[in-house]
Amino acid sequence: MAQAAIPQIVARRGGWRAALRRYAHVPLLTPAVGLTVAVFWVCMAVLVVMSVYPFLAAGTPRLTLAAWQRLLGDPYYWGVVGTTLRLAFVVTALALALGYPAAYAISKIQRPGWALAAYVVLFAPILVSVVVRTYGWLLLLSNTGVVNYLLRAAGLVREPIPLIFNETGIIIAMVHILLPFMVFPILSVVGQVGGDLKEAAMDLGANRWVTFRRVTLPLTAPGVISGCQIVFTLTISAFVTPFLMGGGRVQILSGLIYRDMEAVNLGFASVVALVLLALAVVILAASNVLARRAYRRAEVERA
Amino acid sequence: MGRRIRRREFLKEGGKAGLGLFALAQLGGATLGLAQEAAAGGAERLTLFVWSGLNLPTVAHEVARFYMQNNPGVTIEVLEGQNFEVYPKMVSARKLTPDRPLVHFGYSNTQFTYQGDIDDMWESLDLRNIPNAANVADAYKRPENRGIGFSIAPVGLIYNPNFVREPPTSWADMWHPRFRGKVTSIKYAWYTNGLVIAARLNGGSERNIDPGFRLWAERANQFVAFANSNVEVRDLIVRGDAHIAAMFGGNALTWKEQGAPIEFVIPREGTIAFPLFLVVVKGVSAQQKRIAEGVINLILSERWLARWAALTYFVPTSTKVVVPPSLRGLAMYSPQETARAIQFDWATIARNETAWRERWDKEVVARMGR
Repeated sequence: MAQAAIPQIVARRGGWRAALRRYAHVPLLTPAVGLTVAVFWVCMAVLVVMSVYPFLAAGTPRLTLAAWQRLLGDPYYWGVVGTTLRLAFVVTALALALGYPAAYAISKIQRPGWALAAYVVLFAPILVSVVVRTYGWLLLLSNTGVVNYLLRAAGLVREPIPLIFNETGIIIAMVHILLPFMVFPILSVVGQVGGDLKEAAMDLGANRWVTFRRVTLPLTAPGVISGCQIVFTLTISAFVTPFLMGGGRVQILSGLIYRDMEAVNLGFASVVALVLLALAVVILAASNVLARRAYRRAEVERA
Repeated sequence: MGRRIRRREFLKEGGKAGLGLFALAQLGGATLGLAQEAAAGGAERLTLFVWSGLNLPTVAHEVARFYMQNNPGVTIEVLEGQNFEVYPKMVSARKLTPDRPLVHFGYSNTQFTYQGDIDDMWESLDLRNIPNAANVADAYKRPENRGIGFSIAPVGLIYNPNFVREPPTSWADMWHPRFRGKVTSIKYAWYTNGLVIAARLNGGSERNIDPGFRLWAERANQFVAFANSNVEVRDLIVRGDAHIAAMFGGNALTWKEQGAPIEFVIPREGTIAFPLFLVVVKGVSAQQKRIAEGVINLILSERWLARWAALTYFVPTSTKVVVPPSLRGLAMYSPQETARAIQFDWATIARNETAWRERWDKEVVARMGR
């Protein structure tokens, strides 16, 4: 009887330990999840409620879909959605175009001192406030700024080129501000690509371009997709830089939220905030599908 | 067993309270009011709102200090900011914690004073507790005493003399072709962005605003950019990105004093009167209201209004105040200028705030650059 009980106890202990091991990460995860739930999901719930129960200082609100109808039924607001998405895609594409070669080059630096210098140059701007950096761009790019002064001094233009208070200014500043967020994920993947795979490809007759396209790029795709996701989501919801560089002329969704919050029109502001969130979620979900394929492909290539 | 239940209950109730408090904080920063009450420990603790920037908060701090010295049981905290930032939070706090306002009393510009009427934000003042209110010109007393005007910020035109040889002379210069692409303003500030004045000078009014929108839709490219604050307007003018803007005379003269290349002119049609008010927020206790009225009485006294005028260049509404000699020569301080200042229908403007913002974006901003 006693002998029969021993395996059961061992099994139970094994199960208990296994369960402990299985859920060991839960206490580590709890603070972050708790914070996210409190800050994000509670706010989202409040926004959903406010979007259908307009917040009134005086009187009792009634259930209405007017704010939703106003946004979804007006072509003007669809145009604002279009501008917001266009800016986010362009900034992401340019950040990728600049960030990928930069990450690749940094990964090739052999000397630790040079590598450190490259890191400092690329990532130090993160230490400076976005507002300060944006004001810096305003001073550089304004009609009387350094860039236009140099262009005129060189005789390239007669009149200053409008580089601020338009989409161009927003894109320039956003790419600069978000470039480190593109470089870092790519850098972390590029460093893992083994030289032997590239050598093998070249031994089999592939030139540099084909090697890059068929070997390096697929293997670094997960980092590229992560970088694009980060830059895209930060751009789509950015407010300060688009507002300052756009001079209030470029209409984007975050600007609408601010406009209506200021006027205590919280119902409409909530609707815009939720639409912004939905857009980000849809695009991130789509890119996640791409990411999953890229991961699988990268795994196959590595194997 | 009993201990387990107690702990669960504690966590459950604590969780509810935590979530509730958090939601309040998210919506309106209402936790500030809770913290104030908790810290007060029985003594009265009030928050006085005042505009930040330039010398605007100085008098509020001085008066609060003076009042506290003479009333040891009272603490007055001065909260600096802008009406457009703080007002939405005040409204949220009033809705969520009606007896614990975020701000108990303070300074309010014209736009938000009238918006507060619509949102039922202001207490009626008991003028028996504010004897200095008797010196305020009747035009600046409010219906049912929901606040009281203490100063006027005359709005005129500013320009950068480094870029503008021939100064603007009329409000119509804002939409004159010679300043195409060189005008700026805070985006939805109806007293500086030219909408209402354009309507008035083109056969319309606040109640018939279409002429204003029509004009600005045609002349949208007069604007180079919109700013988010007066300081941004100043920077645009100083950099030369914009050449003219409508602006408070007080701000313009202070900036000029600080060395900015800015000149202020009164258009031939007169300044736009932008009255500034002192209000008490609904939800204060009777005791808090009496304290707030006491402080307002001090702000309206000759001593503090003269100090306010000297520091800010804004015109006091009290007939008894003797402004410092340095201000007497300024045109905007002359009784004639004050008398002919253009008075907007702020109640109508407040009622149309949301609709005009949308129209401004659709009809004017969307046409810029075309």
